[in-house]
Amino acid sequence: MKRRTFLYGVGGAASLLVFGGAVKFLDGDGAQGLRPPGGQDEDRFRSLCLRCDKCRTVCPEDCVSVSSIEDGILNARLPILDFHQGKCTFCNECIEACPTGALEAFDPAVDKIGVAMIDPERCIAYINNSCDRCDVCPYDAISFDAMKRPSVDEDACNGCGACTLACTANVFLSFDGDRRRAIEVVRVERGE
Amino acid sequence: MTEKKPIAPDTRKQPSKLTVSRVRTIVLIVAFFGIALGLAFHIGWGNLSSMGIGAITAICPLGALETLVASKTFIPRVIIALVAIVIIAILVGRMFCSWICPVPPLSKFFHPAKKGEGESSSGTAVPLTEAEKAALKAAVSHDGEGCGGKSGHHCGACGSLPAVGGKRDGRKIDSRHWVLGGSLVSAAIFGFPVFCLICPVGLTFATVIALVRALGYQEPTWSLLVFPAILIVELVVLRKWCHRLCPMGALLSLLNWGNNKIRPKVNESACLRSAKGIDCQVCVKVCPEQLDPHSGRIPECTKCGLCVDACPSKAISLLGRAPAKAGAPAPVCDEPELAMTATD
Repeated sequence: MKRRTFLYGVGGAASLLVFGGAVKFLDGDGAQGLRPPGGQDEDRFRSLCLRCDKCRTVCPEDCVSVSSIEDGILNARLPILDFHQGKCTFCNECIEACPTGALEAFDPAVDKIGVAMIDPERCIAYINNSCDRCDVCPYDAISFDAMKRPSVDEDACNGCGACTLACTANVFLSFDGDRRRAIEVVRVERGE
Repeated sequence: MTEKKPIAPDTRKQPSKLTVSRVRTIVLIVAFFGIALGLAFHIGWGNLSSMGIGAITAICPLGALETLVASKTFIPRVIIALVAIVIIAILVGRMFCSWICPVPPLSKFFHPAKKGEGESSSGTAVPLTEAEKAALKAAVSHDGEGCGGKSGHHCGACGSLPAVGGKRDGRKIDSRHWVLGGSLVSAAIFGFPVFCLICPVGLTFATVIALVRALGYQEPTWSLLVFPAILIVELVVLRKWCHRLCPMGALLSLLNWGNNKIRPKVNESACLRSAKGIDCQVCVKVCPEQLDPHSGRIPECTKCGLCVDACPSKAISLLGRAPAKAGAPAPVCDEPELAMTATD
């Protein structure tokens, strides 16, 4: 009985070490998705997030989603932003709800969730000049050229996702099995 | 929510309707569905990793410790929440395990406990053996004529039998504490809360969240199958999760080592064993944690109240005082039907 207890204990502790190492190794180049505001330092975020789901449930805009197991074992259950459901208004609800400080203070004038990128092959304005739905940027980061084609000012854009939410390409106009819209916010590498 | 408890001493006139087990089951169901509703309807009161609204937030003490060692930073709000939960754990120990945690009921569902062997914190009452029934009946109906009809002397002269003692009485280190150590070391080395990924409580609610996403957002993912699969492996293949592996139970019992206030207490003058010398072992046999409420230190106690419900002479209470002291003279000898209720 004593021996069995010992085996269970050592086995359990060793499995956790092996599991931790394996998960870290399998994770490879890390996550590609967008974290809620204040979670942009990925290493810090991962060390603190408890996967408690509070940020998702408090988000009044419903733009916080949750990663699934397809995104990797380490990534699964971590919050991720989905601007197809809503945009970030920097209301701070998720930051205040975060019990471990994995989401730290965020200044939308300085910090960035990510930067919007336009896919000319999907963008209706690029295809036939007949769309300006993304002209909703609260930070005036989107401008239109003489051909009525949008472009993003990467300095002004903070990745709030208002443009993605407004983009109708791939919503019902040109659905092709891929969820991506013509303008999507992507991660920016930190390091200022 | 964990404060609701039945009025133990006065259940004699209306035979035990409101048992501790029933109250506990209600608390468990309310907690589970309350959390599930919060997850489904974005109420935002969180789940067992972190629960509460606004600044008043409880945090999973194990998760909090993991994040502290993983991030190697001092985050004030984690420390504050951790201190609060540690104080609660010092007071009530493993009460979480039987009153809130969804794992024991799941464990019981997938792997029903064998007779006489406590698998989870919410095991069922063990019926008395024929010998015990006979002894109890004799003690109750032949008051003054003999104890169990063996020696023929008066009950008052029976003396008392020593406490049975439980296998897991006292402050003991076991395999769960190794797992606790392993989860903290692993979190420190790899820089993320490793145990959280496989925590059965977390996986239970992760399954609920996956279900919410699948139904509410048309996002069916493999998570919906993988999370419950890992959970079932943990509870079915690695049997006796709570007793052998759960680091949360280990942490909560460790914190309860120094405090002995909130726990089942035996009124020795009403106990068949202590006062009447009858070899009654009901409380020890019914205990899913293999403890004896007569023992001095039982930090593994989850306050599940099965011993309170099962005691044939109603001599055990979870509320501070031992029951049946005032206005209940000789609780056993004059009420034959009492002994029989324990066998139902």
